[in-house]
Amino acid sequence: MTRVLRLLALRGLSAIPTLLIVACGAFLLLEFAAGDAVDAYLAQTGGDAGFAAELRRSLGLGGTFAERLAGFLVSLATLDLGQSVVFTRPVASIIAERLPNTLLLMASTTLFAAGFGLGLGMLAGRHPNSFTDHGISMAALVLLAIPNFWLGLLLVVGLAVSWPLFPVAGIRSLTGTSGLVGALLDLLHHLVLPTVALGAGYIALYLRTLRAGMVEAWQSDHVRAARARGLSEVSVLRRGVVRPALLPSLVVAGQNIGTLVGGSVVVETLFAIPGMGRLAFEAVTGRDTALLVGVVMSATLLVLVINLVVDLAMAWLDPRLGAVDG
Amino acid sequence: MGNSLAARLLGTTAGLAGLLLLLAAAIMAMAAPWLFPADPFDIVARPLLRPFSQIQHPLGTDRLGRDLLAMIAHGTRPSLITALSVAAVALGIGLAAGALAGMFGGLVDELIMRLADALQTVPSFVVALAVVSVLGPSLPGLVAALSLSAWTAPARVVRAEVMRLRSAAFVESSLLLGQNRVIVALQVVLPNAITAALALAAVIVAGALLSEAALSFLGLGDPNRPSWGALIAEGRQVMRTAPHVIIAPGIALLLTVLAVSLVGEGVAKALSRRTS
Repeated sequence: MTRVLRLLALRGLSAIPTLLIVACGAFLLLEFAAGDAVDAYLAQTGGDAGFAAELRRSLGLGGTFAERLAGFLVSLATLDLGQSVVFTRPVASIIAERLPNTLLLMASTTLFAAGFGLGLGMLAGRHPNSFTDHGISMAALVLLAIPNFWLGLLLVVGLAVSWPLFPVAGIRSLTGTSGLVGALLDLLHHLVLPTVALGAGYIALYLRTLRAGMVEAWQSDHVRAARARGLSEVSVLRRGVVRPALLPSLVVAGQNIGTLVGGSVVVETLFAIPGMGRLAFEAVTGRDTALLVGVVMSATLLVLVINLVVDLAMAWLDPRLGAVDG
Repeated sequence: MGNSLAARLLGTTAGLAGLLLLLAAAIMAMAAPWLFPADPFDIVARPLLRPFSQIQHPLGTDRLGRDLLAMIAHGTRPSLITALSVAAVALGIGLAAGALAGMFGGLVDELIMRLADALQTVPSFVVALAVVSVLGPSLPGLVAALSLSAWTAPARVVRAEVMRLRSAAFVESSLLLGQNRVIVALQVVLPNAITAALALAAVIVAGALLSEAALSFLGLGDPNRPSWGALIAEGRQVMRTAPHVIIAPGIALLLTVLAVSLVGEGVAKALSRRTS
């Protein structure tokens, strides 16, 4: 237990400089963006210069550069992300509303990519340098090269328009669904195309990790011993190959949370999913800098938190991690 | 020649295929103004002409009747220039930052690496989106937006390599001879660390190509130049009846990214064969 606590404390401490640096970057974004929150507010309500100056003072937007930065950091620390111009609502409440959809998309994408990557990686690594292995490695390179927005459009044309198997956009049907099971199925139905569009490239990453692990494990002594004992191939695979490969797969998952959030900007916009990614796009097109800063900060926090969860999962899977000298 | 990196690269099938594809893209980028001297945005034929139906317009036309092949060809150069500039800037900054961090250690190392940590945590595409929205969709703006996160990976690789080399005998001896740390870093350590960073170049170029296309797909690219991402975005309106309008530029993008990855794979293989 102390091991886990130590890991938590270590990670928490190392997150502080990261958050501070990103906050300073976000502040620069606010400073360099044309116009501030008061300009945006006055554009809607109107008002004279005196009123603007007073508003700036009350919002902590006046004063020197250092004073403004301090004011910004203090409001961030109290989780006050300011007011969105486009939505005329507090930024924090919009993000809280959008976050679950993005988490859902990230989870389904990770499961989809890890599942297919696992299967294909095992297939490729079973007989290294075979025809199957080379074919799968080539397919991995192609998967990595496919632009996610393009794949999404092709999926829409093929599987939602020409052959209407899946909904074109959105996260749930507008016509009501019956019961919890119905709502869940409806949600999954909507998630299929965005998940494939976002996840295709990640299949390649899991596949490569699994393949490498598989090749190594297959030549290891304990797998040879298990086979010599006459264990079936399936149980050897499960115990000797898949379980050791779980850790590196978790590392891959942890490393790619950031790109997953970035990819969700495009895919959520494409499929009209009201998530945090589309919110980033809406903030940019609406010139809503406060909202954009809020999205940047919460996306960073999201990556940090998920990385912490991944670390804890790894510590749980591998007792060596987080030990006194580790 | 027999033992050089280039020869080894040509020896691998992946590397050869990648080089040929990349060569085709480079020729396309350079020859576009000669092959299609007219403004690619000119309306030249009936709208939504199917591909392979008229010899003058092999890939057909878009919804306004503009030649698709001409626009794709003219879109090659900005894409390649952006991606290669991102790689050059990211590798340059990464080499310098990694060498500084590895050579000096202490506070310098701490500052550089915490900055790298932060830039690797905040989602790079969101950063690019934010920076482009402030700096505008010019070439320098795009390159700055995409390099901001991309330098961290080469910096880490170079830092690790420099730290390893710092304790190597030939570096220690030049330091003992009283040579300046910076000069040793530049003359002795860096040339050895560069190969490690070069392997990352392909990854950076491929990522930049995809990110730039995604930005222009979202309408954040330069509107005055033809771009594959923007072509795909425009094609959305007619993709149900004329899917070739989005398929053709997408394949151009896919093949270019694939070419870069194949070359990267080939270089990595050639490098590992040389060291082993």
